Amino acid sequence: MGKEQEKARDGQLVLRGQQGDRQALGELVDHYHGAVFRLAFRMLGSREDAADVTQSTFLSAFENLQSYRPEYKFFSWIYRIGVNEALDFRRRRQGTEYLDESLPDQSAGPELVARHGELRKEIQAALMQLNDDQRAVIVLRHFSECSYGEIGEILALPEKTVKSRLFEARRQLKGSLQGEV
Amino acid sequence: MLSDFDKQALQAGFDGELDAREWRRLQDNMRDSEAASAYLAELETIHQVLDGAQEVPVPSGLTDAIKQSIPAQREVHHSRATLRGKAPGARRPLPPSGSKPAAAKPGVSRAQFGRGRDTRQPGAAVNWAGGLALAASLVMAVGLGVQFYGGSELGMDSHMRSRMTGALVDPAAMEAAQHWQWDAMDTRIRLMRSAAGLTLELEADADPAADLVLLVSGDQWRWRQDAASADLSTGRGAAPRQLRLAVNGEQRYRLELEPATRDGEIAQGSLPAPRIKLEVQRDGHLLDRAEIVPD
Repeated sequence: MGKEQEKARDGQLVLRGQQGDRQALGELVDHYHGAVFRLAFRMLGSREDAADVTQSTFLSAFENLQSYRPEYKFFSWIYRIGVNEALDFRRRRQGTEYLDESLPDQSAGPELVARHGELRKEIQAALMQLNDDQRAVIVLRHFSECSYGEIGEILALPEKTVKSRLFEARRQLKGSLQGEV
Repeated sequence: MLSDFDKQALQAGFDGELDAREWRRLQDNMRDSEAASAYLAELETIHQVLDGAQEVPVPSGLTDAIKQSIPAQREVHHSRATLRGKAPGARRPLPPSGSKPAAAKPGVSRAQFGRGRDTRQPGAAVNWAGGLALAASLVMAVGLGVQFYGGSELGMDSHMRSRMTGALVDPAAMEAAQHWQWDAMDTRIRLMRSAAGLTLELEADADPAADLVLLVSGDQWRWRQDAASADLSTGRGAAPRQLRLAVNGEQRYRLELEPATRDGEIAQGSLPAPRIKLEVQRDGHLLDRAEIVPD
């Protein structure tokens, strides 16, 4: 399904949701919970926290469903809420060490699993060393595969700022991942 | 040597943000630049390393948990929008984190609304029994630590005794129920004593989003300290007297007040009713103001 079709579909689901159709909201959950969860995981580094944030993201979205404007893409809107929820969550947890809870790929051999496990930890640790603004653009660009325009819409930033923030974030990430890059 | 400007242009090309012609032209211009090649290789390596971060599986049961939290009724919002004379489409999307609704701030828990908001006009009797049930759904859950000396100046008959410290407060002088229907925000409050002390229940509705600033005047009351967060700016010393709530759509809060302390010492003197001023602000501009007056 193309992006325009997704936008039309989501617009219809939101409209039905605004009229009290719970099934339509359920369909939005089906379509986007995975993406929001993965976004939250990369922002927070913990599956449990990401699950909490995913729930609060949808709850916040449904509570504010009337504020959704159809000219925006629903995914941009829900991502925006997701990023905000994740950042709020992280601020509340400031000082808490991150735990990498991603699961190793058991189909590989033990050494490879261990190496991949280390790499994953290093990557997540490097992400967590970025400041919140930088991490958000990296996560949205690399893990959510958003364009600069979409990132700008999600974070309410001009594209120029997205570009320069991404540039700084990558520079920082390169420093943190020195052994890998 | 590449400038940051050049690198950002290469980055945009690498990310697919340039159209084919622009990208080709940029590549042609940089064809002989080793630094450009090295930078593109660096971008590719970062991309590959990040790809090595394996996808995390979504916890089983998460979808069902979210679906169970879907509110049962949304129609109430339509009646609210109509009442306020604004089409839902005039609303803006959720604001950036800086002006996020305070319900998601530290010390705030979320729950489902049991029913829609009362949309009656000002002046109608406020259904506070329903309001209490509603307020329990979205709560800034902080306790009231009444630690106040000098309460013996108040008569025993008309006063309640704090369960925590034995200090006396005068509930009759404290209670208030008011409703303001400003253009920028519809706000209902109820100030009352609870089992532990004083509670301000607040129901606010702003569209577009606006800030509601609550200011406790005088030295003797403050918003409970452990509710302090980025949104809770402090007045003098350590006593936070000003509370800023970012209201976007319908929000409900339960806020609690405690006597102020100075430099860690408990305040002295009699305990007057708290004077609480409200200001509605948007983008730093004052739109409306009022004061909570005990009944």
